[in-house]
Amino acid sequence: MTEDQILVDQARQGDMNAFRDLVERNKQKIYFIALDMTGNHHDAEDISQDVFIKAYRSLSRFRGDARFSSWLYRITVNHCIERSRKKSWKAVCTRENMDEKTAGLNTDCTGSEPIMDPEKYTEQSMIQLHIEKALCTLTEREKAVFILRHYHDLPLKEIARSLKVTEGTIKSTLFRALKRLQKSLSFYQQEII
Amino acid sequence: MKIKCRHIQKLMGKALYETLEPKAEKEFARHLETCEACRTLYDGLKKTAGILHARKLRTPDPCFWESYWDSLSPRLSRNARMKKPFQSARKWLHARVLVRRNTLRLVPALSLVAIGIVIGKLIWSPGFDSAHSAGEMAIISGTHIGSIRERTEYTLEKSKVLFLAWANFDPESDDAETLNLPFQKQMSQLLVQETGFLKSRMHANADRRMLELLTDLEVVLLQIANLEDDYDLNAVSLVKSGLEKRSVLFKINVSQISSESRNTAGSFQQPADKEKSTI
Repeated sequence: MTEDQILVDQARQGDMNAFRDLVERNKQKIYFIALDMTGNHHDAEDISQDVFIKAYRSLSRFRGDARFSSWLYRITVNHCIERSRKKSWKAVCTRENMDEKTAGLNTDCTGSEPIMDPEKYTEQSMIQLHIEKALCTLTEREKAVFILRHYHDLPLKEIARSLKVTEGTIKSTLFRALKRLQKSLSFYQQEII
Repeated sequence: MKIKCRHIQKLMGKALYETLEPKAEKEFARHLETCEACRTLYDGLKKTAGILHARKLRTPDPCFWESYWDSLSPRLSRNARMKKPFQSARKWLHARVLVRRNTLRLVPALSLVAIGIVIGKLIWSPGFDSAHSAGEMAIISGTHIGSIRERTEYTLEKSKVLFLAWANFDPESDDAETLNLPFQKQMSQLLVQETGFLKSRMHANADRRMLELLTDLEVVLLQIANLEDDYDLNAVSLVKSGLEKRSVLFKINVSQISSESRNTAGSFQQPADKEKSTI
């Protein structure tokens, strides 16, 4: 029995400290997946909290076939997709939104001191802007698969298990997503590498 | 696109995200050395992945993580409090009703299985000839058992609707889910059986053009019916190009127009024929 499984069992019996441990172990992963999906700190914070509340409510339904983290990834991705349908994030991919996403690039994590020269910063901001725009061309599911693989280094097997699809589907989704992103970033390839 | 290139592009996904088997890896490397188009595509995809790794998002302050539980726990306890009055009711319901409900669910499930067995026995019993089974298929697919002509027209109309979805689908930009592959496959399987039946009945009439059209239909429908459940971009493109190459939609339209004009000509001729017969 894994440590997560033991904590889940304890949390099921009403042990709030065990659930707190589960949150502490997974909060960063869940937050960053939500952040990658939305590109927005406030939405990511909201989503990550919603995910833990949903998980808490449905702990009794967690059968332990997959890892607890995989189960959380599934809840996160589904919640992001559901929310994007309601909010239509695609329409929110505006210039102001992109600026917000890239706003913290020239600061350290406390948001105070600049760490880059202005020219490099502008160049970096442009790259970020184009990447965000390119990611907006993907469907939410493609984006989720792409993010889990590329930004969170999850193995294909785990992504497939998390999203309850076959590995073949994940591979073809990734290939399709990468082809679409290549199209959106085609003008870049000569210059950057 | 050559067949070899299509095969190599299928391997590209695996080569990018996993390691290929030694034999496939050799074949892959050998092909990339000789085929510029595939090499450009593969290098481009690798570069794109590299560019995308440059994505940086604002990371939250350390204090955000420290206060994470503090901001989450009030929401959790609010939720738990909201749930409490219902929880006991739910437990009671589960103990008294839901357990019984599960046993009650068995009754319709078993009766469904029994109906399935009866239908299965009827369809696959030895005395059931092919014409009958085609008729059953026609019923399942929504067609009525009428004359061969009526059934052909109905099959053409159904196939046209199916193919229109393919003609309007762009694999590059549209979401795979919009195509509804499982439904398309199921419909194609039924229509393949129907076209087979119609072809077997049509030999005597020697309607050459209709036979050719039905053969074209059968080929494309078979391609769709044999698609894998996973969304495969190359296979979808292959079906689309087959549909366009054979001009199946155009042929269906021509056949429908000529059949309509034949019908209207027939209705105009009828009064004249009647007059002749009275004279």
